[in-house]
Amino acid sequence: MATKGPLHDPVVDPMIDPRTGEYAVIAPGHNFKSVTTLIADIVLTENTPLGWFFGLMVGGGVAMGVVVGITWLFLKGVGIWGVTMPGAWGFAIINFVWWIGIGHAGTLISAILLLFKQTWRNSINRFAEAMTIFAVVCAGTFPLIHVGRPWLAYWLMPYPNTMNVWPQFRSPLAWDVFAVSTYATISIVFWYIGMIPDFGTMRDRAVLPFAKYAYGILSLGWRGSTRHWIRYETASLLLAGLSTPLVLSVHTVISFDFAVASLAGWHTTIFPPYFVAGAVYSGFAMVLTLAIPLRKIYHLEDVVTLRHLDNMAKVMLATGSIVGYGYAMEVFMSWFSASHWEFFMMWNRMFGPMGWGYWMLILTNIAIPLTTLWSRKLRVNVTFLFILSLIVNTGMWFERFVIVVTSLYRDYLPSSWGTYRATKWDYMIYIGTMGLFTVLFFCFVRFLPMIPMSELRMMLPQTKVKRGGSDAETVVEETA
Amino acid sequence: MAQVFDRSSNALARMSLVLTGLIVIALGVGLDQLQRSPWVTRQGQRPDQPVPFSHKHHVEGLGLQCQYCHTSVEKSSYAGIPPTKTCINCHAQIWTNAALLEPVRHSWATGESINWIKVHDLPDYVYFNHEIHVNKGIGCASCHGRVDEMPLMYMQNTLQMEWCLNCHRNPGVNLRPTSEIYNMAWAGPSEEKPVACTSTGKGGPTAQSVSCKVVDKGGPLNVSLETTGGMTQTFTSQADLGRFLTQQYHIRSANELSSCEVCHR
Repeated sequence: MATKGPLHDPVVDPMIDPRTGEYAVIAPGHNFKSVTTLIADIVLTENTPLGWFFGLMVGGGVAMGVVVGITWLFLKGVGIWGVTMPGAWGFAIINFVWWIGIGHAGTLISAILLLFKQTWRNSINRFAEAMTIFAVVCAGTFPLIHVGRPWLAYWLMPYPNTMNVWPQFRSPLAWDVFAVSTYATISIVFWYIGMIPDFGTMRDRAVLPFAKYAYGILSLGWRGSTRHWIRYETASLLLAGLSTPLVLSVHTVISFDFAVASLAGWHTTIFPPYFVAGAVYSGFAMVLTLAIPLRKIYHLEDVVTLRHLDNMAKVMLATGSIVGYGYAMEVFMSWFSASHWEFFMMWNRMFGPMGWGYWMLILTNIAIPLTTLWSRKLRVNVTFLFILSLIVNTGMWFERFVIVVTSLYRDYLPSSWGTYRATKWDYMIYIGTMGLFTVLFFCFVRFLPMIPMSELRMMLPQTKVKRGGSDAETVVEETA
Repeated sequence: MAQVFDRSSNALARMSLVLTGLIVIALGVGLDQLQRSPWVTRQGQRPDQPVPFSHKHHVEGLGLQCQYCHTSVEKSSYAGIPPTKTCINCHAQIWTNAALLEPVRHSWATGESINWIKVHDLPDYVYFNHEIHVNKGIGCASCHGRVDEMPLMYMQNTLQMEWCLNCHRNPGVNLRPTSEIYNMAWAGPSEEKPVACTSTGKGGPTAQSVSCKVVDKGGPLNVSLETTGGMTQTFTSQADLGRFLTQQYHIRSANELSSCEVCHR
């Protein structure tokens, strides 16, 4: 198997490309049929693995935390949470930013890497996009429920009403509504358009009449003609071009929720790029968290190879370094600003009553990943990467915790200093959203092709045009 | 392999596209209409009052002026519903045996209030002030409709915020001389019935600083106005009169009048 054998011995390891010495993006020996079977059979199988039912059940049980938590929240009010004055933002906002951040890697993989013509994205793009959408679902819950009167949340939408009242378009929280709803819409459209050719394949391979109908309707009569493909590729590129600024602006808007405020620790101009880098960082960590078990359980090592894990780890290293730079700049500017408040904010962050949060953040986000990810040996160590991805996700949660809580609970007026202690309802809803995510993701894995077959087929050696060769006109050209 | 979908699916697919669009549009239009419909606003609905009091009979028929019963309308934020005493002023002698009036007599005998049902019921986060409107030249009929023609009370207007704001942003269209406030039939100046106004010089922020008279074309042209030598202007359109009165009454700008604290304290 891929993980075994000496690392750089092409003679021993068939996964290593003998020409470049790199790990192959797709294991050798595959053809159109074999990759199609590999992926389509996961969905079209008659024997759903027991583990799937088990996972769905566990996820569903945990997701009950959201249902119960939100029901109680709506009945009793936001006072069941640990939010108080001055710390009026707590878990809800932390988790919102955390989930939205996780979603961003999916769009990065599907859009930005497409613009850069990184073909290795093809194997991971579909489930990364699914991750985006489900993360946005989890994230989108929080802005709706953390308001005291959630049944009036539609007032955030600009619609002609009998009050002649419109949203305040100068509030970043109103921009959040537009950013997140646009992000969710575009992500779903991009995801769906990408799946249309695969739905065609599923329709043609399905045996059960119901499956034929279902995938037939979803594939919208896709026949795979040249016209279809030209338009499909154009639409994909356009959507990628649109999603790229979108993904950067969405998390920028979310960073504005803080940066626009005048609070020491929030009012920082570095937030937009630093939040986006953090989003990609945590997002890639989540992709790894999902990819590593997926390739193991569904035997996808041939298409999600060590090359992918290595590349993702490199992106994490890059974005993690940007995040590290962000932390360093925050510390530096707190000193350089000569502002008493900034200085105190940073001192309090490090050595105040919640200093442990800051050092957890430094440990899990900076110390562990940024020292280890330089090593290629560790980057292709599946177990290590999996554990690291969990560590980084924890770290990125702590980043938002530190930003939200430690800036709020001790600010300008010492008479309004307080503390923040999350209640069981905070934890229940947060953990519940993980269950919700799990349920959605398990359904995705079971019913939709989790790896784009059409894009994998284009990467196979037999699609490559041999320039000037006699068979140049007969092979399928790679159009991406 | 057999076809999964037969030819009729083509029509279904096209129809579903069109229908989706139509349904979305219909939903939008429907909701927009619904929020302004009488079903939501309760316009024109006549609730069952304990006594079927007829404004038509008392105002149109008997010629009572509004303030006879709603005494505090010029002095208080609340116009007031008359107490049983006001009814008894007359009904101690008139229709003393009418079954309709039994709740009134009962109230008078026991001291229990009559449970009138509020037709114009604003939410309690709206601090409506009657006094300011009456004193700044808004007649009863502008908001409450032709109450003198209502056998049973109902709401003429929506009382929705957009309705309030429409006037606060452009009060001129509804302004009238303070002498015409309780005139339910006031129709605004016209070529046939111009309005002559002049400043009385009494100043102050209330409407008492201007004196107006309706001029009937057939009547005398020299109207007697209470003046201190100001120029008498004659208006033949509501637009001109509104502009003049806005200025004379010192009515604040649309910006100030649509600021939240005007109504929501």
